[in-house]
Amino acid sequence: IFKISNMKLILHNMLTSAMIKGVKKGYPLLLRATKVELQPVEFDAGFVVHMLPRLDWSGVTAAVQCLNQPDLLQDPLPELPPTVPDDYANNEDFLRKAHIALMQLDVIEGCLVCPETGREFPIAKGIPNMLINDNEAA
Amino acid sequence: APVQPLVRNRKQLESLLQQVPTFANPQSRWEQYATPGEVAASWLYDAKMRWNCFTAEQSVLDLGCGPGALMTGCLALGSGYVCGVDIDSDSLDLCRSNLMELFSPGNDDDDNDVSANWDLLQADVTRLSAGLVHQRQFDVVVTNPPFGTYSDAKLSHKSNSNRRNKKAGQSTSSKGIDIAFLEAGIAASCGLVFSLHKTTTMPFVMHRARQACARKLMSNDDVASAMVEGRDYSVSQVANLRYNLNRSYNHHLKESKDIEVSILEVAFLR
Repeated sequence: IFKISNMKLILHNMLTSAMIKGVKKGYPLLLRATKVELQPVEFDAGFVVHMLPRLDWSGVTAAVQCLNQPDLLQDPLPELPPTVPDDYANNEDFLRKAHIALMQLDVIEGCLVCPETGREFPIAKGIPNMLINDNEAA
Repeated sequence: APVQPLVRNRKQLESLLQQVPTFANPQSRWEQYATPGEVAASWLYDAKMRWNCFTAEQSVLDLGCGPGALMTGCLALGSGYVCGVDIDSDSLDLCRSNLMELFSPGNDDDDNDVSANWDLLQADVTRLSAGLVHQRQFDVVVTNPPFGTYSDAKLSHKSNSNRRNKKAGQSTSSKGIDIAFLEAGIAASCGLVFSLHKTTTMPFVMHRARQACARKLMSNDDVASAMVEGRDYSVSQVANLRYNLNRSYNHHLKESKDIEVSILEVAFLR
């Protein structure tokens, strides 16, 4: 049994504000969440192993750290190592924690923030809005 | 229970996708038309048979997801994660409610856990590449882009839509938008790209696809090198279908109209 909602941290991991004029890197986006839920999504080791090489692990740990706010979540956040272990493909304990971080923590309300300009991108009903105005575009 | 695909064959997929509620008021400024269920089913099922894609370990990106027929199909076939991108708030609301409806626990009689890993993103697809940290993030990209049939002159008559376009940050010209969607897809994929285009435009579209692939650099080389067709990628026209734009998309049609569309397939071979 599961509920469905978003935004998952796997998506946060991919997003930058580099389409804004003057932004050099725009990554990782700061995560300011006001409503977060832990969804009991079925663990799939194969998915995590397959996806991990394409993800920025420091972005994952940064995002989880942003969620470490008092009263934001009833359940504990997964404790993530600072780097991906060499044996990650066979390290079920690590893969389970990574899976929780990437697929089970849903940011329903809040915003993403450009680390260079402070420009905010709202998240409402689990959907981040990355639209910018023409005059902001690079 | 292990995650199982929601559908077991083409017929079930078609039946499922035909149920996806679609636009009540298609917005002509975005050239919105939903992918008909049978088109989406045929498209995705053939792709799965050919490539064994949409598996539980794979990630999928849907550019211009609309009400979510393609996303629904990719999830129903068992994809590990599907992200849908659209510029329009109303589409995203509808897509979100469609996906929650179709994948909620009450609808599943067999007590299997269906793949329910998805996200929606509100963004301008033509600006997406700049806003993603890596190229080649997704195993599969699917897109049914706007056909880009409007000239600048036609759009400029609609002062309201222009104002809203500018507010949302989209360029007012939609000519070439189908190519922009395709290029965004080629940038975002590390495996496959499937896009739908008017058959008459296919020679030009395939040419632009080849150009985009040739510009895409090999990922694992220390010295970045260009891709070579045949060795590193393929560009093919894999299906021709008849598509009915019916009267609900009615600002310029007096009656329902059939158009011929084709599916473009780009595959990165290494």
